[in-house]
Amino acid sequence: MNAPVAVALSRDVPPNTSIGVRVEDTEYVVWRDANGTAHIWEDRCPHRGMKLSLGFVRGDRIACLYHGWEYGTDGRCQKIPAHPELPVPDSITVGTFGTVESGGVIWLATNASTVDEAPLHPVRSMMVEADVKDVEAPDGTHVFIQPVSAGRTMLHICVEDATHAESAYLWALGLRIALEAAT
Amino acid sequence: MSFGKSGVMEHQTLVFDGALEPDVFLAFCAHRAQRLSIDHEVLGHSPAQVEVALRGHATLIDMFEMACSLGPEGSVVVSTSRSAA
Repeated sequence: MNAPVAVALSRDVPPNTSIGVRVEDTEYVVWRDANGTAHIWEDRCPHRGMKLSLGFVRGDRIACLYHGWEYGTDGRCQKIPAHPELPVPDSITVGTFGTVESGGVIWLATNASTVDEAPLHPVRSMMVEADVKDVEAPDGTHVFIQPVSAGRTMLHICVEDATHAESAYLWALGLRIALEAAT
Repeated sequence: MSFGKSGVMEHQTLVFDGALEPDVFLAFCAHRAQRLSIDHEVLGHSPAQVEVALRGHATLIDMFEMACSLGPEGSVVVSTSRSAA
């Protein structure tokens, strides 16, 4: 993966929450800390492999649902509740990925990548049961493509003018029907 | 590597007995040791037994033992034993 990939609308990941996403069959947790910064990590606790997206965000840490191991914004484990006396070694770390937020969208990116989208208004994210490489959208409507897995694509739809959100929403429903009918 | 003032370093030898796939099991051991900042040395291995020498924080060695007891897919650990190295 070289080009940044949209993985969520910003509004769908409010502070202190996490969601799980998939890009080309790789699973990621997208979470936002209490300060409002979004993070994209490997969706796997190093302890027992539980999905971190099922965990809890508390301040600037995300805690695993399973045994409560807590990870700071740099991905390093900060606390193991069952062993509060243990100085946690730096080697217990979750894989982190470049995260960019632009245009009301959260992007999975390499650390050197930038995304420069003008502010947009979110409409919806929509799963399509088809491989989608490109979409021809009406003027003022932006569709960002997230390849999920073979035969499955997530589309993140935004508009430049908020008054066009409803028409874009209806257009998107028709788009999904057309894309899935073509497969 | 430092574990701070509360760190308790231990030297332990662990023996895992069972039906093991040595290559896979040893790779699993190495990965867990790296993750837990434990120095480890393989003292011997066969499809029925793996013996490793460990140096690290006592709690982390406990975690290592538990993780390796569960083991990778294809390996079944029936028993473990340990002794101070």
